[in-house]
Amino acid sequence: MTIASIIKRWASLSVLLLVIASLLSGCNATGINNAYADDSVVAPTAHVVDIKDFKFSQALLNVKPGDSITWTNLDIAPHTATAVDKSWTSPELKTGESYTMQVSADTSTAYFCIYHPSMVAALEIVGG
Amino acid sequence: MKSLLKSIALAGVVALSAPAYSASPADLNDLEIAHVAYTADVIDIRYAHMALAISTNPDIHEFAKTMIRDHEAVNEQALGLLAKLGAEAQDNFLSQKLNADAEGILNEMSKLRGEEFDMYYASNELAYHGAVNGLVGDVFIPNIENAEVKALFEAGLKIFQAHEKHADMMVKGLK
Repeated sequence: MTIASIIKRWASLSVLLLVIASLLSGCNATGINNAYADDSVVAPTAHVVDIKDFKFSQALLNVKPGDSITWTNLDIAPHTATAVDKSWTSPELKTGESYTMQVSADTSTAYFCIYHPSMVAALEIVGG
Repeated sequence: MKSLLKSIALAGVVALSAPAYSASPADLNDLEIAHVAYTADVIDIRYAHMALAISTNPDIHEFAKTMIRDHEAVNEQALGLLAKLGAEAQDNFLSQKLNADAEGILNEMSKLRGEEFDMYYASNELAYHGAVNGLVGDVFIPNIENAEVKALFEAGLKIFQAHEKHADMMVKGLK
């Protein structure tokens, strides 16, 4: 085996190792992102808001389009989660009942309990 | 109107203060306290039904419907708890006094119409919830022995405090 052939074999092995390492790290040898590791698409989040002691557990909730919000009433009195502009509302939620809503980019953000106007909260829509 | 509010508030305080009776609210047992609370709920439901029958103000209607919805929910819980405990609420001097006072207020309210009725109803709700909340928070809850009954009253107090705040908003909106 000549020195030239040894160098050639080591070079080939090095390229092979580099390709394997690149694939394992999410990139191919050309530097283009691997589709399986694409972090530009963020999975929807399922948010939970409890209604207890005449308060929404999160007065301001950061959400993004595609997320869901589930309100659960833990009070004795019935409540609702209703947009201030009335563009969306839960049904009447008795003790232990829940309601889930999907968030879109144009979801109205300020909401309250229609039965108890002092109960107010808001969403903040980010991204989308 | 200020004098009306003052007189209603004063009536509420007098009606629920111990010196007006031979017995004291602080001497009531858990089952008597439960009876007072149930009676107070029923009285407020009666006020609300009269408001729905007489008033044409949408805000008064919304408030009255909330009073009926919430007080019925509390009473349902109270009856459920009493059934679970195998107990029955006991009538007492304070329940009887509350009922007697309520008859007088309902009689007064029935004679009023329009804005005069609305202000009387809203002011009475503010004074009534203020007086009941003071009684529940300062006298009943510290004296209740059963933990489940106490927890129900603590939850109820939060509801009635929200009602008081709502009634205050309503009175200010009517002025």
